[in-house]
Amino acid sequence: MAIGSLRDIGSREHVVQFYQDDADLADKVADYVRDAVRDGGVAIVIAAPHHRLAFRERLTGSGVDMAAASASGAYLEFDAEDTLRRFMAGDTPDPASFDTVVGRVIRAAAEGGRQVRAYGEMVALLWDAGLVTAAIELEAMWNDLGRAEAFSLFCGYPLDSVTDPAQSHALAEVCGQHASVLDSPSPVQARTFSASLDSVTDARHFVTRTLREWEVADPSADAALSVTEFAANAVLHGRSAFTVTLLTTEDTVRITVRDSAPFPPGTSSLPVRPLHGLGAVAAMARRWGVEPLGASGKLVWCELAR
Amino acid sequence: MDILPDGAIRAVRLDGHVCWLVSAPGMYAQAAPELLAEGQRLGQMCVVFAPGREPADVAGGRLDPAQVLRAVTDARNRASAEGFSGVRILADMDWLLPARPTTGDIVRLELMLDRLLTAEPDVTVVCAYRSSSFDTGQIAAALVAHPVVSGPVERPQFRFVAGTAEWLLSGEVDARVRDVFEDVIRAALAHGPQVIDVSELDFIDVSGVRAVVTGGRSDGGIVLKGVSPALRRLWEVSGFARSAPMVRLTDDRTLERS
Repeated sequence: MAIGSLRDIGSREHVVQFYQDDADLADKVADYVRDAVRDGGVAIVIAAPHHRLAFRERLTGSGVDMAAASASGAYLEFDAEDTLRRFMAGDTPDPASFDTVVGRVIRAAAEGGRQVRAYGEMVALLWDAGLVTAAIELEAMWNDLGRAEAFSLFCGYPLDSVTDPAQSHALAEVCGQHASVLDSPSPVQARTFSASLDSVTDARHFVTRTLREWEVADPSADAALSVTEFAANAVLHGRSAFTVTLLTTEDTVRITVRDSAPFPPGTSSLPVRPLHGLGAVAAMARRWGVEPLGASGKLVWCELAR
Repeated sequence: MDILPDGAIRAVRLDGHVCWLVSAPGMYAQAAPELLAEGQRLGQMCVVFAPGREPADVAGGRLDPAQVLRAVTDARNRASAEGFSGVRILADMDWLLPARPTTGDIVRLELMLDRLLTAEPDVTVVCAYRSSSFDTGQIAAALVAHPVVSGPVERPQFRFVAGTAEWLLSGEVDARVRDVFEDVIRAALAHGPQVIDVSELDFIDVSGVRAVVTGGRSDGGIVLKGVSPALRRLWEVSGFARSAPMVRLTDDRTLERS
């Protein structure tokens, strides 16, 4: 999705921004929260101490009275590591604790219809610690909270932590949790579709159009078939809305479809039969897989050779 | 496929098998006489399949495609004996079809009619569907099987019509149109040639291919002509090449004789 500036993010949008360095990030976060702080909304920042300091400096420099904003509750700050620790159970974020720790703050801020703009980098911390699955689960919890409460969310990822090609798989999944992806290290596009049969066709057109825009000709037919089969499964079997993420690297096209239908209890995969959709994708793809996201649903992905 | 704008039904020279989507109340009563008058001006014999106007050999409300085909052929014979330039038939589908037809009922009749009309260049049949009488699924089924459509409709996602000695499948087949596609394949392969030209098919998913493979008659093989590299790849990797030897794929549009 094309967004001119972070200032223009929709009131319920969930955006991931890849940033070059701390100064770049501070500019973007200040731009994103400034209007909310000034105009009666609430900014919630969950970040590392040196980032919080940089954000304050930028906002003060652009004429925001930060002492007043903090005193009135228009600017709320939390430490990313401390906050994360409060809802992690071992290597996994706990949904109930997340709701108590983060959900409560968001709900209080959104009370009375105030505009809420949240910025977070806890997911990036999990990523850096190698807990990629936990990072994806946490993004999914943010999405669940976003369905219940009206707030926008801006997730910051340092570019240098995600440029390793071996992590393109995880990168696609993180991007797939967001409505918009800005400045990704690899070409990536994500779009969410409703739980209707029309979406199966729309998702395919989204993929073929995007590949054409990227001038990726080769696995276009395989990509069209793969996304169609994944999307049909999400709608027909999962009865779920779904998000398609398309990411290319030098030698692959990667398609991820996330839906909100968890596996039935006792199962952890999808049936792969010849003469059926997943069987065809499995045969065409270089790699493919299914990953449960707990109660938030599941991810189905494939990597096609370019 | 030709899609004529709403209201064009009376202005345009109609040819072949036309689906007229009657989108507003009163439109049929207003446009039908003009449509027939235009046929007369062109020297065509005009026949109406509608209440009060029905020819003796057509009974409305019955699901009997054979009687409709017979009536069309009879009209053409009568017209040529009487020196008309052709035949224009207006069919009020509200009357002709039984109450609450399934999409399968609709495509069976329309595909058989379409097949007949490929051999009858001087016969035009306008099938009038009122949008107030048919639901979107029924209308979608009707649109698929007509080469010409008049009315405020979007291009159907796929189209399945009669060619001279085969069926012509074009567009995109996926889960969104799966039910209608299965009806179409069943009706077409049961009542017509087992040859489908897929050279204008832009996309088909695995269930679509499965519908083709399982929809054929047991007494003969199916031939897919003009198969794209993408379809051939799907065919091979999904296991159809092994499990459906009765289906033959050719890249050529012209069918080799064997």
